[in-house]
Amino acid sequence: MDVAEAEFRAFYQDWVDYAWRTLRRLGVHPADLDDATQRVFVTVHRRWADRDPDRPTRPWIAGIAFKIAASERRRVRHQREWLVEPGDLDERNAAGRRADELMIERQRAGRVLTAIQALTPECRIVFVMHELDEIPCPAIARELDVPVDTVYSRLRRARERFAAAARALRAREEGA
Amino acid sequence: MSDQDWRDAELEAELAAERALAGPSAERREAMLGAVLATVGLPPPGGGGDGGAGVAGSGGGAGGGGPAVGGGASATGTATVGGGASATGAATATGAATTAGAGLAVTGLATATLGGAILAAVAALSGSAPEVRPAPSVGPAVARPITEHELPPPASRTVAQPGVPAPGLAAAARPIQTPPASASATTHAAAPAALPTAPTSPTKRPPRAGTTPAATGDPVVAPGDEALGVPPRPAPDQVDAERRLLDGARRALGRGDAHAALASVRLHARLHPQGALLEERLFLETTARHRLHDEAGARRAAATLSRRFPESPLRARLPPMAEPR
Repeated sequence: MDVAEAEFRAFYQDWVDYAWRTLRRLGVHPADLDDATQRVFVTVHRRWADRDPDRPTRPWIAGIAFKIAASERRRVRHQREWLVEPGDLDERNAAGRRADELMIERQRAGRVLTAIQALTPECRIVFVMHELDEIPCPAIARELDVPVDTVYSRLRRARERFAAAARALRAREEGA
Repeated sequence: MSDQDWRDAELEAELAAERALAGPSAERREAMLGAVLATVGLPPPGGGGDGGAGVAGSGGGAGGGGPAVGGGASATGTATVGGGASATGAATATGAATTAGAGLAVTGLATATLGGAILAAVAALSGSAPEVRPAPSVGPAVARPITEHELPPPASRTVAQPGVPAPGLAAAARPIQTPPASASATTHAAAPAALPTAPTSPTKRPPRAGTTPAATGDPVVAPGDEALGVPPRPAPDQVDAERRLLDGARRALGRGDAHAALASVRLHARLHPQGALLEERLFLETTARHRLHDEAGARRAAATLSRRFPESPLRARLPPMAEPR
């Protein structure tokens, strides 16, 4: 195994969870998550030689995932509804936790995922990158190739919409 | 609105819960890695004898009558595959072995044997006894005219275009497919001699012009060259990549991970919508969907298999519930 190959494999291990979670947050159909994740890393491999090591990896992956998610949306539009759960998740974060705590955590995470889908794709990626991945707005602007003021504007709209959607979901669950 | 004042404590807790959620299981991560490596032309995880070595094994095994066919194929199906391949392509096998020498990778020949390898593998999966069968109808696929975009890339790695939106996988993956050095040197020399001798099977109908998945409901027969009415002939390297992807799907089924199998099948569908191993892909998709209790999807895939390959031996091995109505 040459150095570049070993490096790519290590990179995959380091970033596959992040790519998968980002795609899920960006609304990729659960049945397509693994497929889309593979596409992210095929793209990573294609761009490997051109990667700027001085630029942070997280926004780079998120930017690739955003484009993959967009192409997935175009592909599945009008094709089907969500029928499949994301499938088996890694349970390493569940070790030592009580079942009721875990259930509440999953419900909270589920509300976030649902509320995010209320955002437009452009606002969604900004919200995911900033609020969940804690990527600074200038880095988001650079990766998405938009002015930083546009990022701030989208973030503001996304927060408003997300907060309203999450509260509505919570109210619905409490009223049920 | 500042960075903090837009969210209350519960919103903060919800965001924290989503941040803490883990990714896919280790098994899924490994399956995805296998598919990615196969796509980009790297050896599979764990040192990978069965991906890259599969082609070499196919050539040597079939030409010399040896048992090693398919690399990753199960031991149960191996001997059968050799028989099946010899039955359908004996002349090609002998010629190729003479030209390339025993044990060398002859992808042109591998093309003829691949269907048999996967046939045997899926036979092992379905638990039926192996038997000598003619290889499924990949013959016409290798006899089809090649189109420009099906040719292997001129260089092993293409400089990426920054800012280019992510294309379909076919475009994304093709430039980075780096065939094994020994295989590529041999296949390009051997393929022209071997390909014309591939038997023409009457079972493979030409694709219907203008057929699209949306129109037919076919789940993984993605639009591609079929829309042009000129099905492409797969390049040898492409067939190797196809086989590795479907091997990944088969292995996933073998370990009971139908989700991962379906992911590999779908990736194959994107990369090789009209690939030489379409028949095998449809079979694997039917099986995976059946195991996921997606009966409608399984029936659609089975119906497509029956329509496109009415004489396919794989039809007899379809799961009972997925038989087309």
